[in-house]
Amino acid sequence: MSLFKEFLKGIWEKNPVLVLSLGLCPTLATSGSMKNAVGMGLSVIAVLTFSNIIISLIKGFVPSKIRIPCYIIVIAFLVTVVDMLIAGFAPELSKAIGLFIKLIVVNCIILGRAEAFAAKNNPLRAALDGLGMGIGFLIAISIIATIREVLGANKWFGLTVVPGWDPIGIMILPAGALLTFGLVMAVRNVLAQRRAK
Amino acid sequence: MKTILHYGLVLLIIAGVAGVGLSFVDNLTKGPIAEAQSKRLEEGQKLAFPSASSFGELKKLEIDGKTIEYYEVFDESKNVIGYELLYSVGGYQSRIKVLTGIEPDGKVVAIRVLEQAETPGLGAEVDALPSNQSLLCAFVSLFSPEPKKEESNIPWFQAQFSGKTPEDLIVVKTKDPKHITALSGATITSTAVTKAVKEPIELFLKAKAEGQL
Repeated sequence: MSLFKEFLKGIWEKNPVLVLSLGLCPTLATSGSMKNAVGMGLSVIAVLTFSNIIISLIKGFVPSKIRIPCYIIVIAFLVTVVDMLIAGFAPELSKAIGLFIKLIVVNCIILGRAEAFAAKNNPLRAALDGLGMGIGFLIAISIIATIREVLGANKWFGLTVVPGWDPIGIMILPAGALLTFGLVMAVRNVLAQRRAK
Repeated sequence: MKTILHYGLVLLIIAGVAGVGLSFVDNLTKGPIAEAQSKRLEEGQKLAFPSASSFGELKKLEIDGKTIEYYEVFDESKNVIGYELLYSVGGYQSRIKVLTGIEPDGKVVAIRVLEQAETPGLGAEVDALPSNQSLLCAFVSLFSPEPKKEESNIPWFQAQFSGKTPEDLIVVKTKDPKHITALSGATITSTAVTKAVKEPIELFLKAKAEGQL
């Protein structure tokens, strides 16, 4: 597979959220507003790319029986570093998404890609895979967040969309997250089937 | 036996390297993190008592089995002109921490919600700014050369508390300038914030009457 395709597959063909159904907990939790969703997406891109590179580098050194605890240490290390850097150098961002950063440790996109891809490929391919998957996650969560924030709060990035319209409150709540997620996934599947024909 | 040693060693090395890396980053970010936290508190203190010129150290007060933390507020000649009470209560899904500036008789000067993680779009609106700027306006202003208008940085829900006495602090669902108008769809959060303002004032006044200060 060409390097460019390695990068591209995470965005459509194997989108982590909409196709592989990984990382749904953070997707549902942070897609209530665009601000949170974009913050979460960017942190996942950073952590996923670096964790893929590190895991690809140490794959020859780690015995397969204890690979999972080793991966968890690497991921937890990276998440803590990102958390501390954001808290120190971007306190405003930390106030908004600080709670979610710690959730990345248990985001199964990261462990999933470490196990399924980074442990079997060279660092360059692993980095491209991480970057593509991360961007795919950001796109998917942004689509869900846009629908939820516009319908549920009549806002987008905190700015009013249609002045005077009373929004549908349920879209902001967890039930709205599940509804939106299911519909977006269905739309993606329909489009994929049409293309295959 | 040999494999156990091997596995243990690999884990030890990975955990060791991660530990050293973390302590390095911690050293790098410790200063900025502490600075950001104290800056946030300082900003909050200023907003909760705009006419103050300096603040005292954090003090604690025990009454009725509850603890209130407070700061004394000074004017330029170091006279106590009021207090700022720090109190937190449980909201709908998070702890809400509020700083309340009061005059010596218990009248609210201003309040500041320091920490909250309520539902975005509902309870989290306690931090919503009064500007009802729409997406279209924001888009247009991106391309217009006129400088942006200065907007108030005090959220409208929190602004309602200014100038109220503890007896006035009742949550109502209709617009009423005498009381606190609830955020729509977030009565629990609105009630919690009001409680986080009212309860410490009452406890504080009681402690003061008993001569505990």
